[in-house]
Amino acid sequence: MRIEQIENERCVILRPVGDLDATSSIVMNEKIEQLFRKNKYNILIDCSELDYISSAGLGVFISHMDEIQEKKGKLIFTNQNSRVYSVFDLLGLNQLMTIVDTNETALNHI
Amino acid sequence: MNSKLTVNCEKSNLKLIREFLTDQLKTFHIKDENFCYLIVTAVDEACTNSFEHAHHFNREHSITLETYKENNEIHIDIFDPAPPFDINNFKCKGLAAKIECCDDGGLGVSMIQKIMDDIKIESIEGASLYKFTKKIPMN
Repeated sequence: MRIEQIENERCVILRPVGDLDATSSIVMNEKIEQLFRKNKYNILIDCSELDYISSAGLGVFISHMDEIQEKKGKLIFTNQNSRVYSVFDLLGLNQLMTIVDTNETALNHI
Repeated sequence: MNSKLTVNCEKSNLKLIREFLTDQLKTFHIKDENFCYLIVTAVDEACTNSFEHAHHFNREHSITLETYKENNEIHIDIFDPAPPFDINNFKCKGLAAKIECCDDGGLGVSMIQKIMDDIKIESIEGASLYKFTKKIPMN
């Protein structure tokens, strides 16, 4: 997996490309912690190129939710395909996390 | 038709397992893509937990997966030389108020429990045989 990154005035867009599993979740974790060190807490996870997400990948996002909330930031998922969404749905994460269709819609939440 | 895959317990082999299962499920001609995806997810979670907690990603250790279809059910057997882990009775200790997950592999176990219709675990001379069953939806 690789992570594409786009920054604008309002948020940082991270686009994981490939599989976010037990191996690659370390990379995503480090990327988010890098953003925190730069006081960037509005993060948009663009899932358009995400083929697979495991519990390890989900755990990365879950583990950072409290800090993002404390800093009044936002963590928003966009462009999930039906397979990736089915995992969020299975665990009830679709009720807890902000998931929207497009990056443009996500910007309205920030 | 039965198909088998034996892999050593390296992290990088998790993708190989997912690809093997995806290919096998295609041979069963199941149309529901999400259904297949969740099965792959459950098995990936089981293998990840085994690799990490039972084998510590030791490349000298290996597990074997076998898939087959029988009576409108998909069966996935995982032979693991490590002692059994009781997936059925594992409960998250740190259950959060709003999400059904916990640390240390608990989220993955929760996913396996939710996805699979039946999980049988046999102990064979100190090793384990995990037998996962999933009914194929009628459509």
